Amino acid sequence: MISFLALFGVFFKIGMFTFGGGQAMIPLLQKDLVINLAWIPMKEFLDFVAISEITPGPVAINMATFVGYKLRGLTGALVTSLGVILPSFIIILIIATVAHTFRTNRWVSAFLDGLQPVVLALLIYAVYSIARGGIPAWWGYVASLGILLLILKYGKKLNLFLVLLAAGGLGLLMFR
Amino acid sequence: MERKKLIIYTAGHASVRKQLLLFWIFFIIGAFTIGGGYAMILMMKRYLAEQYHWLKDEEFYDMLAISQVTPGPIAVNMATFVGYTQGGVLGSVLATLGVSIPAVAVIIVIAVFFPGFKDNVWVQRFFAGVIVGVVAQIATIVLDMGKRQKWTIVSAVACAASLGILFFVRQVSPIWLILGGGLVGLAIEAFKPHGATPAATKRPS
Repeated sequence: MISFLALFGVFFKIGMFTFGGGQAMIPLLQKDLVINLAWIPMKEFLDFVAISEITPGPVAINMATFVGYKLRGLTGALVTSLGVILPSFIIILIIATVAHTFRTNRWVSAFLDGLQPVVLALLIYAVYSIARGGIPAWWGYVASLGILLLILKYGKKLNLFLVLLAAGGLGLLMFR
Repeated sequence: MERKKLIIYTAGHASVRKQLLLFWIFFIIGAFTIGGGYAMILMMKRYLAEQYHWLKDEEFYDMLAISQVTPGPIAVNMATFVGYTQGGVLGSVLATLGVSIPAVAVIIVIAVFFPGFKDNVWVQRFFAGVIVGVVAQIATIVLDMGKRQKWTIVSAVACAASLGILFFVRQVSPIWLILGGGLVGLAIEAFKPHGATPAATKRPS
């Protein structure tokens, strides 16, 4: 049986060393869980990924919960989820304690200014790759553009959760 | 919105009401956003910067940038960061739990009761529809962020170069791009004529 410590260790390591958010963790998880440790068969792993992508919440936490539950039940699920969350939590806490000095130091400020255009590029790329991987028909792109215009026009008055629900409803009706 | 405030201060000098609100906002975002961390950014900005005015827009985007340079899920990084600045250590714990609990709970429910969940054709269609909405929301953030960039020749080139690398080189970890951007920022600061403002050093070509 796989020990809780081993479970925790795998997810802590991946939470600690993966940059670029949850999506970037998937190939690393695959390498560790499916190939190196052989805890989970490939097919099942791919099922986990597919479900994590269509359930609420950060994909990394979805994945961790799934793997933990599968291998060691409820306790396992909590252990893996904590494992993937803790590194982020600790690192950000350390950074946040000095955050108030961020914009008062000219070097940190310059560094942050330098980050912004790259973060923007990453977001543009996220739009592209999410649309390409998830929108099945041409009119989905048109609908997406329509929703964008709605958000821009009505701004704060538009409830974003309802927008997502409505978009889901549209999918039920239209995607075949 | 005149309301009696509970004046019981906690570690982060935030009222109990604010601490609970921190948990609740991140819980709601965690529970209703499908598509991972990127899909949450617009909702976070709505709540934190526009509805409650806890953060200025620039602070929000600074936190977003830092959440991208640090390891781990972006949603967790943002939750911890916002939680700490608004409610101290307790706030950071509450916000992080808030954004994480729905993800854990949903997966356990699915694993226990609905193992065939993703093969359901209606689930697939619904999700494909939600993605249409998610794409529009991330595009909204792109436009907003683009609008408030201090656009200079250097930042435009940095953005275009990053896009070029992302689209054509693939397999490159975003961390190298982000660190590269930070280094460019430092270089500009280092070579800036003393006392000049960033805008003054740029000349239209």
